[in-house]
Amino acid sequence: MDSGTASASRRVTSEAVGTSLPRVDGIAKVTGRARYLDDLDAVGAWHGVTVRSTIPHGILDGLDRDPAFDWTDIVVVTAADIPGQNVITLIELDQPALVPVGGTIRHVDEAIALVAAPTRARAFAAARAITARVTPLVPVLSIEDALTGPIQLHGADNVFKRFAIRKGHATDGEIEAALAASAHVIDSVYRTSPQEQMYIEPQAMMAEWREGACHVTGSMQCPYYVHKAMKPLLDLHAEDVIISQTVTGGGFGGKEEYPSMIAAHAALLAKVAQRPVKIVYDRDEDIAATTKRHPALIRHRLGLDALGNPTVIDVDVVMDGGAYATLSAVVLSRGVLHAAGPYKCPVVRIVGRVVATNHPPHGAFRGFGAPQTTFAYERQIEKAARLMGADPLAYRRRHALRAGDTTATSQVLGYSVATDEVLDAIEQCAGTPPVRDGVNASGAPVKRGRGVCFYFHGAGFTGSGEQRLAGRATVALAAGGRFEVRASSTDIGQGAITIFTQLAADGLGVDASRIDVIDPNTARVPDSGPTVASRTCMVVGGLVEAGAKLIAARIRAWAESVGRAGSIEDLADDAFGALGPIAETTQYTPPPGIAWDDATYTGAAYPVFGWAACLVDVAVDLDTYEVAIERCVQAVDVGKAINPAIVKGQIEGGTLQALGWAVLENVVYKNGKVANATMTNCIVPTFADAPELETIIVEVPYPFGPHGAKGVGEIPMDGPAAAVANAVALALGVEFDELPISPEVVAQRLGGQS
Amino acid sequence: MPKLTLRVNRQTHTIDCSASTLLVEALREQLRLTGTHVGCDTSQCGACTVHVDGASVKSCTMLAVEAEGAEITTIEGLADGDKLHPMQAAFQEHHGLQCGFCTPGMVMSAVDLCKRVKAPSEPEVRTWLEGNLCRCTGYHNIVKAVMAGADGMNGGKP
Amino acid sequence: MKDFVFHRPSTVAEAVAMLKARDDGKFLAGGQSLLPVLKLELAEPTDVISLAGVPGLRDIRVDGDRVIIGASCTHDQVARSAEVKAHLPALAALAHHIGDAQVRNRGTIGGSVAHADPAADYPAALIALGATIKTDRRTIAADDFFTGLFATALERDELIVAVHFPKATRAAYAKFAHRASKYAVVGVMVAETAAGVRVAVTGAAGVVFRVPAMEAALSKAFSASSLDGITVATDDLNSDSEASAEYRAHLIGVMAKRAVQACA
Repeated sequence: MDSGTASASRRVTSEAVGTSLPRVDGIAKVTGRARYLDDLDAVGAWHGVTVRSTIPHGILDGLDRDPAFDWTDIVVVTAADIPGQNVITLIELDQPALVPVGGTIRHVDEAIALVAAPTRARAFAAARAITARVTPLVPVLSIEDALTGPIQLHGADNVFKRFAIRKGHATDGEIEAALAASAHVIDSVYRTSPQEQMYIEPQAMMAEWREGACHVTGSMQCPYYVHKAMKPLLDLHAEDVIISQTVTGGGFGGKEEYPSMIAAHAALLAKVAQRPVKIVYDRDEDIAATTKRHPALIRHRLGLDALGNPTVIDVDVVMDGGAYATLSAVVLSRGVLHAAGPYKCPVVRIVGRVVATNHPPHGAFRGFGAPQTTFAYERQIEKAARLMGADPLAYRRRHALRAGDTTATSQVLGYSVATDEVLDAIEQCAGTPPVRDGVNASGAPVKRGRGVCFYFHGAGFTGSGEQRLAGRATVALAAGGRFEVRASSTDIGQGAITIFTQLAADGLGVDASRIDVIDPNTARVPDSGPTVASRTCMVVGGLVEAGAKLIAARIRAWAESVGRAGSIEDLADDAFGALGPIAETTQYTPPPGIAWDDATYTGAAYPVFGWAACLVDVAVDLDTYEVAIERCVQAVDVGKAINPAIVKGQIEGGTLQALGWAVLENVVYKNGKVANATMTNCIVPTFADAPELETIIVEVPYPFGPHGAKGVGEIPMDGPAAAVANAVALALGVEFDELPISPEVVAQRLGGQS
Repeated sequence: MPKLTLRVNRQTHTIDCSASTLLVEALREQLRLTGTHVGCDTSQCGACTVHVDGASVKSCTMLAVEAEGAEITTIEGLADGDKLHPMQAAFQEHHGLQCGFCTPGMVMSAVDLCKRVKAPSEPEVRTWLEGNLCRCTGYHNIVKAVMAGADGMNGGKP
Repeated sequence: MKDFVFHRPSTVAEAVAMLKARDDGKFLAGGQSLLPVLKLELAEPTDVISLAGVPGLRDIRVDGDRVIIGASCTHDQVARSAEVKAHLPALAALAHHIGDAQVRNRGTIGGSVAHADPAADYPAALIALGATIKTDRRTIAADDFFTGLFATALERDELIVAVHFPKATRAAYAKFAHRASKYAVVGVMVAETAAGVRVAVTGAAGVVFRVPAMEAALSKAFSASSLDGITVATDDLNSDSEASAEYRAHLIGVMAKRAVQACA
């Protein structure tokens, strides 16, 4: 890692944890020396381009090459060239790398062939010279169509996966009875939109075959996911697939599972071309063909007694999974596990389904199902508070879960429950709410409103997921008094390299400048589990800390045995001379008391939750109907901020993505194709859209996280959209239960198009 | 293929370059100055921002041939050997970056602003940088970094 | 992008002659309109004729009651020009909000006007102020200049050399900008010149247009409330992913009022 001058070598020893150490990879990035995939020298590499379907559903009858095109320096790959199984291994084995001739096309922009050429221009020209002969079939293009229409895409009912959670009752009849017995029932339907991750670095991958082994390098979050997918596809043993991550320009979940697809394509082309092949997506291809946040349709019924206490929560969640299962089951799982919200309620039923449609598959995006269901439950709680004439924060405080309370899955909350801390933080900084009627900075008439929300996010994999992952990390002594951290966790901007540096430095008792976190490469690092689920610091960071302490102990033991004294820093070089490159690999062990039943979906869904509260002040321009965010405060409990600046950065970034999702982002499908597939029409917040973001880091330590740390990556994404909708409801007296709350939507609801 | 002479980071280069080559392509592929990045196809993201005669320009929306005769500065040309430009130092110190992909373009745009306006206000920073997109940071720390970088460019410590 | 031959003429006459001699050539000013077109392969010229080396197109001067802006003046130049700020501040403000800083450093008034993007800002100013476009061979009134979607009255090889703007008693431009491109979803310039009050709308339709009903109302009483109840028909307005025709019609009313208020 190029550490340049200045700050990276600042002397911070055992205070490394809890300081805002500037990023270890920062100097390389601010000088332009950091090398993303498309920056690599790639000597002799050809360029790969994907030929894609133009219809959402049909049979691929054949592929024709234009005979007038000069094919001499072009390599064409189809499904017939796949040496192993034509599948991108993930959870289900339903998604092919390439639709075979005679096979079924299941979404627009599905890959049907690949070309490689010495230049990008030639590769694009060749791709255009291949045409598909197809027999179109009627597509399924909505959740409603999937549930009630005649076309069967998957199984008997188009449902990839369903979950049912029951608490405090056994039959559906009891739910209806409980609702009927409630003094009030708030019954609403919520619809959330698909969302594009829009990492600024498009998907990019390069593959090369050397001596029968396939080397793939590129922009990715999970090298071992790619590794797992390449083996059966290429018919290779584990040691003949080497996956490495290059500096990655953002992921947010969009580079969790999709890289296996583009890696497969690059590997296949490289094999046939017998030279390295690199594939770098154009932005419009990236938006159109890769995964998005699952759109969701949620019916939420909240029963209250006469005093306003929740008596029954009944949630029906349906998500559009798109054409293949990919990660839908897990997204749905997290969605339903959060769907009742962090509130006390004796009777809860949550039913979730994710359906098959002919949209491009939806996939991982920060929050992973929780933003969708959080939007629904926090709108419901808001409506309940208003119905009872209660202050929105006070109402939430009264009914919130605390340590000792039971969640929807009957998990008794134990460690690190920060309910009052985050609510206190919001209350303390709130100040006077804005006056409803006023003007904005430009003098336009506005209505202002304040919205709040309270929410939680389970850290790490669900239930026994972490135990099954059995993630490992290694800390090793190296020459020159240096130490190596080896983990498959990738830095995708969230600061993994820096956090691991701090944790290792702290565990060893050395300066941060002594630590090298090596680039994730499956030939050199153990499988620490994927870089997802807000687990990198809490789980893998914990392994790094543990490994560091073990190495320190071994060095001290050696020093004692030879009668040496001194700090680990002083001893390290000689210890290396005596002991060699000793290494400690630690494996995740779950904390005690995590009992999860997958069959009944009951028990400890997550080892611990993060907690948060959000306050948003909006001003709705009464002429243009734009919803401006004038203030946004997030109080987020992270257990312990290993690097406060990095934690704040995660909260700020996630918050703006959530605000964008609330008011200006959308992915629009027309006949199954993304209709807004450029950065011009698939918009994300710019500087102009970003308010001043206030962040309050709350620390309620989790005893089983390194220094008490939990997760932070996803939680800030979950809440703000609901807070915005709550604020707009107060400002305008109109409920917005669908996202985005765009100017036209507001205009239509207010009946005010002049 | 026609020859083109470009002055980049105070050095003169002569390259083979077709008329339709974009400046960003010439910089990245022929001069191997890969710090300038391509993030979109529609001149939106600003990751390709460089200076042409001191003014920030999206190098994806300029032909290389148009740049002949101009002084081009890329991110690689900002630092003085190992000594970071005050704006670069400010971005690092104030955590004005996460994944770093937008960062070179962001820094170049910010330097142009701070040469024109000695002590920009926060709204001025936000307006000037509207042509640079970031998805990671929420822009909050970038604004802080630019204000500090402006200070550093004026001789104060970033 | 398909390749082409790049030319660097050093006079207006040479530039025009070059284009005249080629069936499929294009002038290149700042490139902020042409290059995106070439990248999308919406045009594939065989020759591109750069105006960068043609002198005399970058001056801004005031001549009596007109402000004369050379065709190759960048938007940044116009925005910061002391003359424009003094004599036509509404135009400086409009230029200041074109695109973003990088676009403004390269994009030119001549290039923008010749390209005639229906969502560009300048067309509203040219129409509202009653400007005249000076080419290498004639003078064209703005009212006769913008003929349709990306279409102008320019002959195939005709080159804009300057735009002449009459000074205005009062003028202002209000824009509802597209968040990503900063083009006008709806942009309205209201101006009162010696020729009277004009209201010009860009972004809303296939070409810039005036709103006679608003002009008449403002001529009687120049205040935002004069525009109450005046609506624009939606038939010819754009409906797209940015905004529906109905929303655009609504925004025209809003932006017109804001422009009038800013004239104060």
